[in-house]
Amino acid sequence: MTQFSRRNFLSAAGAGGLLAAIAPGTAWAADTSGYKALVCISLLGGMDHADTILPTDQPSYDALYDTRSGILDNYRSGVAPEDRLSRDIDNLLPLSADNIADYGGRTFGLPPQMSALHELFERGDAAIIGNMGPLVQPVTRDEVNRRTVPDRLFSHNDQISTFLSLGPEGARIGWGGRFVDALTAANSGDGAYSAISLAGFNVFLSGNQTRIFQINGGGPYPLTALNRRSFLGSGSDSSKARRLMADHFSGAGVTSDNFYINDIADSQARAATNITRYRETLSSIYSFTTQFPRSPIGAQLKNVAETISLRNQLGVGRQIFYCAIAGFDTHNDQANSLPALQRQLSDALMAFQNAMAEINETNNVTTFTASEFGRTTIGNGDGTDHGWGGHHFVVGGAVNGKRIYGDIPPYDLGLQTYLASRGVLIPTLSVEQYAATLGAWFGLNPAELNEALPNLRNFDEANLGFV
Amino acid sequence: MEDINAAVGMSASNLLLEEFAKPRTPYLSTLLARGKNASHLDLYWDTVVGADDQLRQRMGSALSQIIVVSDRGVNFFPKLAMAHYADILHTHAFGNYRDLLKDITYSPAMSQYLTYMYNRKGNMETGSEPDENYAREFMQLFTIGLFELNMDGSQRLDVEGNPIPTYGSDDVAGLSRVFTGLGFSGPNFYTSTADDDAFYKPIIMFPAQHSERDKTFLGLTIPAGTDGDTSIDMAIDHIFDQPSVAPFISRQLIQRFTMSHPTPDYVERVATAFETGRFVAPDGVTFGDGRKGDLQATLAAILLDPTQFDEAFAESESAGKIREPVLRFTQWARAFEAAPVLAENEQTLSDTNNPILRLGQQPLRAPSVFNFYRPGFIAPGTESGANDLTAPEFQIVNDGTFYGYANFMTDFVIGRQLKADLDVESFIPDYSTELALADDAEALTNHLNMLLTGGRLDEVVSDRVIEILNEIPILEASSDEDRLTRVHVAITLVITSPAYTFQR
Repeated sequence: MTQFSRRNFLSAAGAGGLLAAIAPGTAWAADTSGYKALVCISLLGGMDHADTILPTDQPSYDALYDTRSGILDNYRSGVAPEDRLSRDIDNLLPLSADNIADYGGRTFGLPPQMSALHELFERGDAAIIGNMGPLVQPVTRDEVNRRTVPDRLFSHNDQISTFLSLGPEGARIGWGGRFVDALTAANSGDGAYSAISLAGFNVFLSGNQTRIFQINGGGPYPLTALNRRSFLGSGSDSSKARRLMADHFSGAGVTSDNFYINDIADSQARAATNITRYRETLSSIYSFTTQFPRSPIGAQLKNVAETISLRNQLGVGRQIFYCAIAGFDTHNDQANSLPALQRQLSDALMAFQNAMAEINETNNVTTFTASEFGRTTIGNGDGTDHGWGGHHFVVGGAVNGKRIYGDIPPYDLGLQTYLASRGVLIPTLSVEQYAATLGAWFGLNPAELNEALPNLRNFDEANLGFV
Repeated sequence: MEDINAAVGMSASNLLLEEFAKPRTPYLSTLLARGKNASHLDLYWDTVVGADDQLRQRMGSALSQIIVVSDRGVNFFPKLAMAHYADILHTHAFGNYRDLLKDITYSPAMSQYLTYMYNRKGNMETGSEPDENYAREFMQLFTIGLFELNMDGSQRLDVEGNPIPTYGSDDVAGLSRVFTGLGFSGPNFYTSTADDDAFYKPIIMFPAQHSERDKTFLGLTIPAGTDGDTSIDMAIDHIFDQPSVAPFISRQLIQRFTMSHPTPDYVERVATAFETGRFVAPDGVTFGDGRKGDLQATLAAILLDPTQFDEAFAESESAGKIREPVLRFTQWARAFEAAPVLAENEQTLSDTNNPILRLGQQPLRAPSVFNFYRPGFIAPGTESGANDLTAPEFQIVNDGTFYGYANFMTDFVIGRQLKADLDVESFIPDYSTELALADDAEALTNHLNMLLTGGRLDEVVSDRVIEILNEIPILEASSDEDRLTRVHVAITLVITSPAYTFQR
């Protein structure tokens, strides 16, 4: 990379120049009692923050328009009727943040597709975290060539990995998995259901000990070969054969000189144990009256709600869930693709909050967004390209909502918070500060947080206070 | 089985030459002939199971996992555009990688998927810049990767011991100007005036929309005013000339055919074949025309590598490859000559991406341009991971997906998969050889062991299979039925064993 030279972090920062995030030994009561869950919603592709949190004061709106007239013009024509004029300043849903005075007369709104999320914000159950993203240490435009910044910026796979695991692709464990590792004691049993993915295998939930349990639709389903009565034929119902079949499917007795063969046998054994026990609890799923929207994220959050309703049967005190929505990589035709995603996200979040209220877990479940990067402020005609910092949402009863945390930088692209080209935001809050705030609420103590989040000590605030 | 019998006695080199000579099974013309509602995914399954040019299909599939397009990111006539894309991959599968890059660049499918269709030159007044999507992924994924590589696939290091990035943001911005001005074939730069068949033939350059500015990247400056088609040729030539291309592509191709974690020596041998465009097999047969990027030479180097004929190597702790779920299904279908090959009647094959219910993998429909799994993936909490071995397929082959795979396969083995029309016959396996062996549990098991795993079934597994089969009595009154039960059970057990999931 020509723009960001790799520099030795310690020499650049200077001895003692680092801000101690949390002094060792600071008393900070970590609570690991009761039940708590974190739900991560990954907005894959890189969400365009500037088309999500929009300015509602005229000077700011005009400044934004100057950077991306093509996109904003497209919203006035050539989009589906329900989305037409949705970026007109008068049609944005104003955010009456309690701390709006901090923004010097600037005001903000959400697009009308996010009316449900707007309602959550206004009633204090949602907060906005402004200009956050992967950082090693605080950095400005002038410093970006001489201070350490995350590797492989702007690359999808590397930055989603960095957001979720603090390292580029190749990182093996994520901060979700590390949080579960730290709190294994809070989970009775083997923690088999502490890290649950609704969106396949991912680095976020992988830990040193923590393993991912996957759910999708009504599955996992039982094995046909074991459960179909006629599989072994009509002539025999040999219990010996059934026992041997169960051994077969759990890879029993397979040991090899080959590492991969052992890995495959081990994973079959875990599947057999964990899926069987999970299936045994399913009859206890709470039947929610809440209707979830028929979208991929609606279906995922419905599954999350159902699984949370099994918390006692599964014997788990702390859980982290991973969901994902694809499609945010809006290089072109953004006005026709982003609004639907915003509506899906917003409506699903409302349904999920309603479902949590039904089982009295509103205050014990916190949902947050992740995304590999924000996008360029300057458009490419009808879309936007890869950026760095972006804005995010945190939702839940425990959230100190109706507030905006961090910066929503003005659209003066000469500011120190933008890179020199195309209005790419340099994050002013780190993913690790975001994660630490969530982790402290989840029950990790300062030492555990510093271990899970190795760069946290480079930042002033270890707890942003949004939950 | 016929294939295997025909191959006995042939040298491996001759077998390869024979595969290289087989005519390509076409996708686009076949799909057009099937009618406008025909599915490109059905055609995919029909072809990979039924077509004679098996190695070409495998190579096309491997290339589709490096130069990825998903139909879900193609807006105009995605079925036909994907068939056109498949033809490009298969046309060049035994050709040259550089030619492949050029045809892909002009494909309706890729240009929509990576959004450079109708990519306009920048506008100084509005500050608008060209879309950078294709420029970035062309370097990161299709050619040179993120860091400079040695021929053995390891990273080159600078004097301070740090890896050397291949490109930076300025290179992406410079290259993005090259991929401007392309649109569907027709008189104007608009879809509304495109030719009727524009959505499945090469896209074209519209000079007025192509950047007139200079284009600087990777040390090359294409002078201001150079026309679009010339700029694309110059850009592809310059990037393809980079020394990292050979090891970057070669390692991934090895992973698709023979080893999840290729040894450095092996990568170097294959990358050398790619770089020099030539490979001389142990029996003296020469492959390739001497041009960099020759894929016959590359593939011969992968498949005829001495390690692949070395039993001691095969027994080593890291040899072999996690077999992709899709290949496990097609192997079953081909081993038992499932017929008629008619995927349109198979609802279960309509989209096999669901990891809990189906295979967790649907070719031509990867979740993103980063494919179903990444070449550098190392699985946490595993023996292979503890030994730093890459295991791409473990991203879709793991605790969470085993039951879905097993159920998907069991349904096909016993003929209970979802059908569009129950009265129409499709994918019915021929178990006659197995039924003839069914009375002897050991003989049946040994036969399936050889047929499906090359004799590598773990002894504890084969002993257990025999024991289970012997618990299924063959009674006089129901002997045909009981034999079929034994065959169903035996096949289900073998294809859900670790030795079938992992190919050595």
